[in-house]
Amino acid sequence: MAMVKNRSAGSRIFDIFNYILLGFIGLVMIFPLVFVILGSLSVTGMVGGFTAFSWDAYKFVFATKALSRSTVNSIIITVCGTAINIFFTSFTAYALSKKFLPGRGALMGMVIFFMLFNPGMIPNFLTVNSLGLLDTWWAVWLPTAISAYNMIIMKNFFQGLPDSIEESAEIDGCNYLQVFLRIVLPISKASFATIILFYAVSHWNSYFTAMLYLNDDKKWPIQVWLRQIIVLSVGGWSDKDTLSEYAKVPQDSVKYAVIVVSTLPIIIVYPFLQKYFAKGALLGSGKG
Amino acid sequence: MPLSRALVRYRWLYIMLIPMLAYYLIFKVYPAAYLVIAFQDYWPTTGITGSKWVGLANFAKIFKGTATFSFWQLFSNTLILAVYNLIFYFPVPIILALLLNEVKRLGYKKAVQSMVYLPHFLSWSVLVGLVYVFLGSTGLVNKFLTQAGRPNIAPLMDPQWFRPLIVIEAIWKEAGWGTIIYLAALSGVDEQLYEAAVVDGANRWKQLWHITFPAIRGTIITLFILRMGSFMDTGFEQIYLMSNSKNRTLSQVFDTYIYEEGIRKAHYSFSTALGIFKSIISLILVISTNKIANLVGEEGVY
Repeated sequence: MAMVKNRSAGSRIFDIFNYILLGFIGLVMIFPLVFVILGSLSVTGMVGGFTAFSWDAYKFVFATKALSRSTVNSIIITVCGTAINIFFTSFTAYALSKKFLPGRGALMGMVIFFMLFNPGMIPNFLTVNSLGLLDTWWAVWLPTAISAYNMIIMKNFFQGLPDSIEESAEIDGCNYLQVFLRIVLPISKASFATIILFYAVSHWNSYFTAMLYLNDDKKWPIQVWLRQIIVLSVGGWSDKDTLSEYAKVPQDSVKYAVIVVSTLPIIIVYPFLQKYFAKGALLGSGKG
Repeated sequence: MPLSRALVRYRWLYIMLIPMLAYYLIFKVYPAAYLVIAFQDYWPTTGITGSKWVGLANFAKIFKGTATFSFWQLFSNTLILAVYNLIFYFPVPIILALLLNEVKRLGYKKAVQSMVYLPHFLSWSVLVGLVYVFLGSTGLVNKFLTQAGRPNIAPLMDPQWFRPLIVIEAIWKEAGWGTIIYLAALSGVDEQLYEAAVVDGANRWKQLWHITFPAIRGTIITLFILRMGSFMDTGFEQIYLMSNSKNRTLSQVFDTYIYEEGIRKAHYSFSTALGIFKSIISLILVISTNKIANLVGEEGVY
């Protein structure tokens, strides 16, 4: 690190300026979320600063049917959706990782083709409609069952495993499915964890698919309700008895709590996200 | 090996591919067949076979416009947002990565990265929700202004603020995350190059210009071309969430209009034609950008 030595005054001034600027940028970027987290826990909703601590906004959110239901919906959509993704993606990735498999090239060609070519919103909608999946969670789960991008990441991982494991298993009379389930799966936990995270985050955060395919507000995930309450300021979602019970909770605190609930799972897994997603972002970048 | 023998020998692998085949047939190939309705006057109850063929009438309607839309308005809204993003968003991750690259204290660098990466993982509805919490008509900024005895502001209802807000949100959400790919390219630069440059008396600005910047030039061009491919679909979810009756004249882009016409009004044929038209423009943009990149001596994406 020769460059660290013999620094000129200008260079040192730049460093100081750079450190301050980057710190400032970082703080600005997380400020809104931090503010909202504090506001959701503040008695006054941060009007006049953080005066006293209270869980009431969250109690209100979870006592309100529409909101507690949609939080549960989001969890179900994420858990089942990710399970479906993993089933489809890992089977496909494993079979396509076998370079000797006749027909593999054609199937990979198909995957790449549909990565570049999306039939579009209306054809997809008409398909879901004609299959009778509208207004069911299957409409959220099935059309996105395989992300070609995630599948290719997983396929590349399986290709990196030594062939010897499978050869010995084959001699023992295991078929490929058994090899996959009993041998490959247990040694690929890290790869599975990465792909599970990728899918889970996209399910939890997905808003438009739910809005497109689900008319019944009882089936909505929390992301859709968030827009109804905060962006559209739609009324009538709160229950009368809860409203009177928590009359003192400021409206702002409730809004903040809804935002925090819709972000909480992401914040909890954020340390892992940073690690695994950075790798994924680079894998997908091809030449980068 | 003949196919019949392969089918027997690798039957379990083929069985494992059945879900994938079914998925691609039902959710990719089958929807693609619906593209023919762009040349029909389609109605779900009569189906593709029973609907009347109208040739290119739906495409002609795109240029002619309808009562609620003019082609040029849609086209220019989409184009201007894309150009704004290209001019104002695209350079930000590059600059941010170059600044981060100058930070030699690893702990500090990691802390800043953790902060600027976070917004990438927030959903658009949360992010736009946060914008409303601060800038909405009863938002925090207005509460503050009221307390200070000043008139309230309504940037979310003001068409003039629509485009700047879209770009600022895009920077907030993706600029930090966008640095990753540049930082990876920068980490591959040989430290000895810098040492040699110092011996030659190059100051930091010269080092940046002659060593650091050339290291990421290829990455910048690749990302630029990829971005041209998605030029026409600049953040549909974001634009949809940010659009309202007040800013409709500027916020109506191809995707939002396809949604409104196709899903809300059930004009399936017309909106499908519009979708095809949009895809063709995107394709032309990628191919021509790649061509230009090749002409000026860069590798391009393909």
